[in-house]
Amino acid sequence: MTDKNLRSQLQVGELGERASSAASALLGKATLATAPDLRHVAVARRLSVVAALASFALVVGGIFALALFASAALPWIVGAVLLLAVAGVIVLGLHAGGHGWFVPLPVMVLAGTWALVVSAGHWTSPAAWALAVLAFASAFVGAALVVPAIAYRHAFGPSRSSTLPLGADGITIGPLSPVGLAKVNNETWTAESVSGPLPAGVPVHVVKVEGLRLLVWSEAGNVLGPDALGLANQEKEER
Amino acid sequence: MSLDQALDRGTSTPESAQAVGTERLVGRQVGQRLGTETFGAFYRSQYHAVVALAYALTGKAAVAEELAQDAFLVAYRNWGRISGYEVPGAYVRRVVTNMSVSFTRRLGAQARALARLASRTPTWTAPLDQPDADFWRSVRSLPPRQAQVLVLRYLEDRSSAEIAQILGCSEATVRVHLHNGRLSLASRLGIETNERS
Repeated sequence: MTDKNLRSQLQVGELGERASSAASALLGKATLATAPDLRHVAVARRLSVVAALASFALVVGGIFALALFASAALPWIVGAVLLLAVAGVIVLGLHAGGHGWFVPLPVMVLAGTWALVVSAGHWTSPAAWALAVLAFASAFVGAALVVPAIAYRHAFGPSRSSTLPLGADGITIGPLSPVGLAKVNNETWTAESVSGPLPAGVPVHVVKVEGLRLLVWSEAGNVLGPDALGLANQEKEER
Repeated sequence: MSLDQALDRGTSTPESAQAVGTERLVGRQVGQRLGTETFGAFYRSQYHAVVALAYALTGKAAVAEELAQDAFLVAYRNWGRISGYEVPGAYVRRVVTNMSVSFTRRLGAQARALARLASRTPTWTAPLDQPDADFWRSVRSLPPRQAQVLVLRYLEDRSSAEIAQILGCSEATVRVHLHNGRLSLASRLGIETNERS
């Protein structure tokens, strides 16, 4: 098959149309990205590398200096830093929620074993150093696993100060018969349709918020207008 | 030449770069006349197209921006060499496609993107409509090479020869990936095609 034939096949048909639409949408959105000053980006990259190397050198240099000049204090300092690491990972793990509380367990076990070995008087043994290094490494890995989740939730999670989505538009993410799930303002809510049963994927409009349940109205329902909103009865009563 | 000088000596304006960025063939059109232009003009004219390419391959807007910036920094370091290429844009695209499938590169970009998001620095977010988002998600679910080939074809409307040049493989390989990728994509999207496997 020649390239020309293949290209013509690719551009026609449903797949070609979907691709063309998706490409146009993405290119349109991408123009909203602000091209940063590359000088700042280059400086920031260099600074972060220098800062990481300097931190590493500081820690290694500090350990060597302690080993040389205050070797008796070394196990206490290592123990204190391990304690801080354990506390930090516990805080991060609990803050992450879900199964995040699993994260501190390996660090706690390793740090505890290190404490037992040290209290038995073997703090300079290779096993003690290996345990300390493993504990630090598992604390680092735990933090690396948990921090992105926290940062992501911090950046994209539902804001506690956000106002209720009264009057907002959304979409059903499952059938509402009449209760189901709908996505409004990028959050998933339990929704009850006032327009009768609704299929998945139809646009809805939030007419009332009852606690954690939204009352939604949709054109796609079989009960429309004032009847759906209960306004017809209200008008009759007023008369 | 320093990065400052390279950027300051750019000739195109941000407005013209943005206008060009909205065109489907931005990469190729601009790339073909870049031999004598500066890095600043090249960066400004290609940035949005490269971000879109990275987004199509990673699915994360902030990560896409970081990867695009990484790729342009690599291009800057090698500008003396690649400015003489017939299509310097192909070089940046190759870097970005390789970075998009590199676990460590993606991890680094993700960490920087999260740091930026956590500090509330404004960034680009791309809430595409559901069908469009589903389309790119299906493309990303393909094997990496097929996804790269389809993204370059569908997003930038490139020929097999251009895709082969960008990815550093033969045209025949590109055609095979296109054929297989298209069949898999149609199957995942529930679309019928006339092609046979």
